[in-house]
Amino acid sequence: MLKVNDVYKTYGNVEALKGLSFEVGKGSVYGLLGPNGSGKTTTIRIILSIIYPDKGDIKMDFEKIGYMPEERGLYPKMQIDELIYFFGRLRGMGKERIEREMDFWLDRLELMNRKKDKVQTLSKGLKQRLHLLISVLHDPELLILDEPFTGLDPIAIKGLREMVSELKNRGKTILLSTHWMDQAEQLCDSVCLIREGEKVYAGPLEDLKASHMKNDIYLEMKGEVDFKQFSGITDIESRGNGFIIRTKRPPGEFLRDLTEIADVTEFRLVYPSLEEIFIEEVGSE
Amino acid sequence: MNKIFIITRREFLKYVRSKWFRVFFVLPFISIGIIFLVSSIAPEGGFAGTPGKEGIKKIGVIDHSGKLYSYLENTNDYHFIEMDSVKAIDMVMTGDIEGFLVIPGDSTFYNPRYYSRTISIETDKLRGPLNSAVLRLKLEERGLDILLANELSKRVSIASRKITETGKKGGEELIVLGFVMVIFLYMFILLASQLMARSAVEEKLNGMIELIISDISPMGLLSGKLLGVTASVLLLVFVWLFAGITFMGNAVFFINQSINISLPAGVLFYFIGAFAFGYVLYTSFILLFVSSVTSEQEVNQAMSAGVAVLLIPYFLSFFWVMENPNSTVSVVASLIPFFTPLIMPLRLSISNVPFWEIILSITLLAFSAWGMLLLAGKVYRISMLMVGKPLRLKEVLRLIRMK
Repeated sequence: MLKVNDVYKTYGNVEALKGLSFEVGKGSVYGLLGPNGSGKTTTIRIILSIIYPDKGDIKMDFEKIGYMPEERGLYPKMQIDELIYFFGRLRGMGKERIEREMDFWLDRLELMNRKKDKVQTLSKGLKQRLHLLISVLHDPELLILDEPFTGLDPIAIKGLREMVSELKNRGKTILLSTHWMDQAEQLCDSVCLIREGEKVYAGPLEDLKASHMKNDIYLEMKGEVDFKQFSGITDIESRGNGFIIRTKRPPGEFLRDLTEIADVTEFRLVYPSLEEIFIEEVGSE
Repeated sequence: MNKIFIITRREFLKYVRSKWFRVFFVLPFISIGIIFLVSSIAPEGGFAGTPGKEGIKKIGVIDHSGKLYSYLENTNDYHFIEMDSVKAIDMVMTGDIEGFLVIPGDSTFYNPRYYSRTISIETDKLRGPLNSAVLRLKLEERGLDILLANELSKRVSIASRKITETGKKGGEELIVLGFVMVIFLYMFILLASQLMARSAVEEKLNGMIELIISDISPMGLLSGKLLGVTASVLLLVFVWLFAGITFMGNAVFFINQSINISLPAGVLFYFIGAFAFGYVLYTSFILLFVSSVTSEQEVNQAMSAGVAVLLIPYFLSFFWVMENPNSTVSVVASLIPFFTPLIMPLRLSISNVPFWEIILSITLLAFSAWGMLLLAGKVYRISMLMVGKPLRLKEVLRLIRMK
């Protein structure tokens, strides 16, 4: 468990965090979501004790933490295996364990054939993989990923997403800071939305979505129907083989009326996307 | 502590494996090799020679005045042989003589000409015997006895020796040592502090500072770097000292005299203290400015501030303290912590410095070094995560005041 409790942080005249609180459950993927400058990185730095809060505290029962920062520089002239060994030693790992873990992750991340190459010879995507390797080398219980999708091509994004899922399945807790809402939506169990250092929402993603339901309905049916005969419809949009209908009426009531005159083949509630919620909640100002 | 040594090891290996280090490491060994090679094939007594052996150069003299040659005296370096002009040129070409002097026939023989196969600084060295010869000739022409003329033309030789507080006479080597200390400290501090400054901001410029300080504290990182850089520079220093001592042991082959420097224990301790504290003080001072850089170009600009401060005592040493070691300016300058590491060792070498000045200067230096290290550490810790425009002096001062 990681608990961020009423944390404040000020840089000069800028209030970076204004009483931020949230709780990350063990074994979950938690999204720290907010626009640039909202205080995500400051929060992570405080969790890692790189900087200290002016007020509030952090409680956690994780002993080993892995971190992949947003800025992804490495010692360019170091050999990849030497670099991994260096970070392994910094984290108190023995030689044999470093070699075992290094070989496992180099193989898993398809970097084995580059083991003796210098870091500066790697492409951006491969450097990203190396960064991920370094962050998981010591088998951390909590893995913090700060904007991990930035600068990656779609294949690399897919690979990273699979890695995160794999780590979650292994029981690791992952704190994911991002403004890529589609990725967060696919990966996160819970989220914290931050705007200008303040919490907008913190809790399960499903609850957030449920709270933003707007009686949007997706339906497919045989034949044609004139929707004007139904009261309370505010918007109709053609989508695939069906329609997205926004109504002021309860969806169940609308379905009962509709089935009386049409052969409905598919009817489901449409949850708002995280991106829509994010723009509505965080991007409104 | 273990983490600090991991950083130290990386820093040390990084510099030791670099190309410039290899060059500086190998250079003195090559020099030593050459020294031994040359000394093993050198004739007894060395190349510098001794009177009456191969070291003496033969100089022909074509004396149109018919007077001066008889007054020219052979020296340890030159033997003068009278000859005519045709023979002289042949002998120069065959190498029998080094060159020849042509002395005009009238009374203008104050301006002789020298001819040889190479244009060299030989004329400066020949000026002494020629002046003596002219002086003796003139004195005798005015009726003075030749023996008296010889007495009058002898030059005074003066050697400087320091008398210590206990009344003992010091050696000339201490004065040389004063020079060596100033140059050595200047070179070491300049090299080490610049390496340290670059090393300190390496992770910031590489964009990996957040990664590294999630594993080790900024002060731990800085301490590890300080130890690593110092160890690599000290390794070079010891190699060069070893080469220097080896050279001194074989110096007889080159300068015809042995060098035997004995250093008083007190001066040695002071030298080591000034060396260590001075290094910490200057490096920390440079770090104050370097920590805030955001690009490689800015590193040089930031370092120039620290180097400029180091230049003041360097020039002060050579242009003032050397001549006036106990003047008010020298005394005050040697007590200013930034100047102490260079000026006080020099004063100790060439004059008698009151004991209280020695203690006060090293105490002030030690406390200043410690204080500056704490300040630099604080600014380093805060500014490492700052990006964007480099900090100005005003902002550095604000960081120092921050909690």
